[in-house]
Amino acid sequence: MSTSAGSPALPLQESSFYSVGWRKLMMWLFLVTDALLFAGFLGGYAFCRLASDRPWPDRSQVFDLTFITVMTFALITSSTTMASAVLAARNGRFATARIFLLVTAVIGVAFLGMQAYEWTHFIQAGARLSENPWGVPGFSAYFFLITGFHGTHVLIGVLVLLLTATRSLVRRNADEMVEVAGLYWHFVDLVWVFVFGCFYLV
Amino acid sequence: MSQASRVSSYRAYWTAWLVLLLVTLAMVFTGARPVLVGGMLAKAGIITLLYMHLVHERPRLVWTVLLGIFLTSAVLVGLLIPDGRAM
Repeated sequence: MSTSAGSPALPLQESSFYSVGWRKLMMWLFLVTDALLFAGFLGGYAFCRLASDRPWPDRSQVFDLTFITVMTFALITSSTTMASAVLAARNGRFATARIFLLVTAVIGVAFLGMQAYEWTHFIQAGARLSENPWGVPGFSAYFFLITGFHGTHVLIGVLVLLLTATRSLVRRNADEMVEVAGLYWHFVDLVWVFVFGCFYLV
Repeated sequence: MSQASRVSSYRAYWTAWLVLLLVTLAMVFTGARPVLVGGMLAKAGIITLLYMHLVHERPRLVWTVLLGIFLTSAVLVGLLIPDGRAM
């Protein structure tokens, strides 16, 4: 909203109830709803696994857990660089913040590349949405559903980071824009914590 | 200005990074269910409280987020898992 001299004061820039900016509050509320989406997926996965009348495939036989662990390290590292970008922006060091944002985006792209490699390997092994060589269709269906949705979130996150690095840093509220983008990116990492634990390890 | 402006230091972030890596390695190498569950919760706590600055926010926002995510997720999973076991 633009203002001119003599116009009424801008509406409140932050929620008086939560004492937090509206952009940030809306991002938090979005993340709560998005978390429920993934909770539903993981709950459905747990149901399918417990209700299966055939033994659930051994993930260490199907996946290269070392490779998945490297993917996890990549996301953890990207969360740290993202937090560093937020800190730099808060301190008014926008050039440093831009570098951290771009590094985070590059790691995100690397994660997507690794996920594409993993999907290719899985598909070449015969896995499809409705069937797989291990005889438990829900296994591959939930794999594609959960990791696919998560990968889509990573892709969107990379685009948000690039937009923030190239456009938002010149704005008056650049520090808040970086922080909001950071909330989304950390959420992507948070979801992976549970995907990695529940799908690959438990 | 929100209380989240009182951000942590680079050192705190990279120390958290090291802890997250170690917890991940412990989860992968032990594979024990208590370690997995504890590891997931510990990692989630570090990410939300430190990286997402939830520890610096007002309690109203903290409770809204935590109740919104964990209570409803627990209800969802709590309803689905017993049904899955019963089948």
